[in-house]
Amino acid sequence: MDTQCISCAGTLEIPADSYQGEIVSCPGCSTELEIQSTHPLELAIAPEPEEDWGE
Amino acid sequence: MPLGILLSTVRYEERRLLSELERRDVPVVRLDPRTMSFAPKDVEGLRGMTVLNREISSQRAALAAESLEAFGARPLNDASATRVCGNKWSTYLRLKEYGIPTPTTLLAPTLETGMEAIASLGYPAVIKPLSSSWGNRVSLITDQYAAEAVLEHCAALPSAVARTVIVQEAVRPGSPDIRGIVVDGVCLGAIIRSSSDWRNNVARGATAEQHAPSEEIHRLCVRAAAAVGATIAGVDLVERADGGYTVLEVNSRVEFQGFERATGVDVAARIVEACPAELIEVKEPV
Repeated sequence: MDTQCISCAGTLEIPADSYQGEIVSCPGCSTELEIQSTHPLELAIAPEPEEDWGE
Repeated sequence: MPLGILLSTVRYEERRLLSELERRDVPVVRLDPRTMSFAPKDVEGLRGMTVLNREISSQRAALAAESLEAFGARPLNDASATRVCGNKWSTYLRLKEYGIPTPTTLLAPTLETGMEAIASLGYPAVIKPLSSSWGNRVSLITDQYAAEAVLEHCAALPSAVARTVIVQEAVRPGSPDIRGIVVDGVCLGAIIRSSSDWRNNVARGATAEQHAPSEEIHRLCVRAAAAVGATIAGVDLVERADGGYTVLEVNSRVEFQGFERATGVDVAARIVEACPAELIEVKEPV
């Protein structure tokens, strides 16, 4: 589904099989966005990776 | 009772796991450790629940695992394995205790201790923070000047935990390493990782190819996972100059994108099957 980037207001497509918590990148401004909710669709600026992230 | 899955960010691995659980119609409760203070409202229904720990933050993963156990849930991996794997010194101690070959490692709480440790191991040596992932802040030290520079920078860090490092014998730095994945006491296979960097983390751009693991590699992977108490583990090994293998580290919240793509092994399915049988309806892939 198409939605509006909360950073640049451009259009980005969120795949229908997305999960809450996935990170998507806006093709217009490259801002990384976290899907906070899929129904209804809610996006937020993704958190910056922290030093203890990873395996 | 549903299966819990502890996570905040959904990466390739969590997507694969969620998708596999959906495919098997396993009821799932998502637990986000960013929002859990373990107040009474957070712990309702946790008793007896198996919780796959896929939290991206090492600290949050360890704290949540300990808290889940305290409130009667069963995190997978358990809190002890999560804590041990989250600390490279603790991992080294376990590997040594269980007689698993691992590079000689010394603890360096101060700059002076670090310099002495490097002098005793010789160059090259590796300096690693107690906790780091994706190879961050892991430094290959080739001479005394580099050692002093890195240790001085560590000593200037504001946190006592960050100032403490380990100094490790460098085993054929820059050569490919091997990643095996163990689930429930079975080594699922192995990949060989190569990089233009001396560190072979896939997260740093290393390439992964399938590797036919020898019996020795299979055995070492299973033993290393058991040593840290992990049901699910990624075990990193490197071949020594004498042809034997040594275990570098064990990961309790293993990333398996490179492994699945290189080997074709369905790691997500194997992890789901490590959950209690009554939760998992076996369905053949369509």
